[in-house]
Amino acid sequence: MLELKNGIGAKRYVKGISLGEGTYGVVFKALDTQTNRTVAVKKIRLGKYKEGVHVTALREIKLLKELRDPNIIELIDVYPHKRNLHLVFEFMESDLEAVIRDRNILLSPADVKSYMQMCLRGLAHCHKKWVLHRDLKPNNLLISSDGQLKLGDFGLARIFGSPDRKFTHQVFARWYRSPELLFGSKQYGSGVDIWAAGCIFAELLLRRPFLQGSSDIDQLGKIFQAFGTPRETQWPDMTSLPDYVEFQFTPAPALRSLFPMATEDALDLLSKMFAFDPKARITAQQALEHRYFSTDPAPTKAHLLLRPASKAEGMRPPPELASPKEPVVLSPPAKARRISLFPGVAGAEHIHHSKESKDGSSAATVGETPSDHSGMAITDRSYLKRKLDMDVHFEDERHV
Amino acid sequence: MAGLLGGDPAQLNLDAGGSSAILQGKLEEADHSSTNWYFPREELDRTSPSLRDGIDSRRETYFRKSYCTFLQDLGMRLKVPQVTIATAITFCHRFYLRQSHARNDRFMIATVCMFLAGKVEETPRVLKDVIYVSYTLRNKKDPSANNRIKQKDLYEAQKQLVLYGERLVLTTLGFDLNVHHPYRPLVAAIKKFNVSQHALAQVAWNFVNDGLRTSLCLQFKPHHIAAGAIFLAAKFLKVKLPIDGERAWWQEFDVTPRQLEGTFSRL
Repeated sequence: MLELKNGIGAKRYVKGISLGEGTYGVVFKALDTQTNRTVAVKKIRLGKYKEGVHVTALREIKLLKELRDPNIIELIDVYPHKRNLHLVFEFMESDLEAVIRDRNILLSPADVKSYMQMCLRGLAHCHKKWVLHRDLKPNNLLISSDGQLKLGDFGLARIFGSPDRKFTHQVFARWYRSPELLFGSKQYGSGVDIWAAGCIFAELLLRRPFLQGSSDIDQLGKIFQAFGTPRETQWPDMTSLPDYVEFQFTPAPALRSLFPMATEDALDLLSKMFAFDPKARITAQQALEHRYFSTDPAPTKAHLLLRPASKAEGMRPPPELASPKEPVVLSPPAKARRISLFPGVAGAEHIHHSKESKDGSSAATVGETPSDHSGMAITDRSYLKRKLDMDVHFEDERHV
Repeated sequence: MAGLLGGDPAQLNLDAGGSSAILQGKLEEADHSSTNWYFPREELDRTSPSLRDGIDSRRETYFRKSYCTFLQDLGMRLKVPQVTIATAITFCHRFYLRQSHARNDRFMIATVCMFLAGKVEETPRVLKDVIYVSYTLRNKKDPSANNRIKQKDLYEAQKQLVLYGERLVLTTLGFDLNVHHPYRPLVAAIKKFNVSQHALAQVAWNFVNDGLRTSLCLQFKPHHIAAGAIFLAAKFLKVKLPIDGERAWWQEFDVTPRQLEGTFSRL
């Protein structure tokens, strides 16, 4: 009756190198022998958490099973192994932070539009399903080997929509936090994700984080410096927020002065994503329908976007960029020009030069660590077995 | 309850006349389940793992009722919302679709399901509280149980059971933690049809809660149960439900008269 797919779970994947330490465990690369796909396996230690399976893991599993979209990371499988829970995701080659940081990549207006469109599509799907991401930032926007941007890391995500449900305002990395969160709002909605997406939009245009506050108050200061202190008429509910403090009035500089290179359409969309009053802020769906996305230049096709130097090189075949089939000239002329400024570090070669750091050291040990959690005495186990009818894989993992 | 209902699906139209202009868009929730969790009654009875261990369907029905009562009580003592209780109950029902009562203590599984549902529905209760309250509730007649569970050995044993049980429940459920309840479609429908009678909402709500204790939520999708509950409540209170031209209110739920009939005859 019970599908024993979990039993074969561990055997289905051939473990590769470590990709680094996640919020609650190691992430490693693996090969899915069933589909021949490269996957990323997030290993969550169960023994560590005295309250059973950690709520962030449960959240991520629950929400990602609900969210199926080309612009949201796919949770392929979940299985327990030894004293760990393994979450199997599609493998993502890079993330938007690496793109923004990579000075060898010139982001054309069409590229920026493409990234924003993919980001907003993923977000619109989340919001349609009443899910708030609550942790949007460039390094949670993952990029697949075919250039698709996908929302990842749903460990802070929550279902919203029940009007009386209160949330914590301690979400998002500070630089992406909306003013209502900074003022301590506990009943917020999808606007918080839109604000963060606006910050990412700005970051794509500027190639540096837009509002880099050093504390919550400083963050608000930075926001008001950029957009002016909100007036009561702009945001009527502001003064009744729990942590509201009055700021000295600063007038808004022209948005144009902050983003000298942006088009009118881009500025218009940006200003709507940065509306102070969350109720007046544009929604993800409305943003996708904004004229910015329908006017020239058209968004760059995902597979033509230039990929940054990869974070980890393992069993992955060389990226398309390096292969002769897809020469660098496929990119818009502007990019080729930029690359040619650095004759030594042109696209393909660049991929190889910064891969060494993260993978080398930890590769050998991942997954081979003996599970030495003693757990409970042997005598207790038979009792357990009787009571709960443990499955085979629970049984043998305790003898490993 | 079944006695209230005429068998003729045409009767579902109730009295025409009370028209509502706002019948637009469907109320059906999309089916997100990667696994099918809905089966006809006959199949449930026939394929039950407990049956193979010699537990007949009458006895299983009794077991089902008893862990539901336990969970309702446990949930109220832990002060979790009704939705969390409903999720715990659904987890439990689904667990025994795939596992046998003979080999899995239902009160332990129920305790695990409550602990898990608390986390899944963002209304977590600390493991210690869940264990204390569950243990005392299970040993209601024993006044010393309250002190006994505070002893380290017994507490630790219970704790390990719950933690291992959590993994067993998770794998048995295939990590499918999305549970949709009839409450949301029910509330949406009541708002949508502008049914202002508080009594109707209350009675329909109670029918939904009653249905939770049976295998109903293994047979019918949440919006079908919601539709059935509204119909039954209207019938019970002799309230007219709105009709908009050719479209009967229940069509908003995307149910056929036959499905509806099936739902409420089980309620």
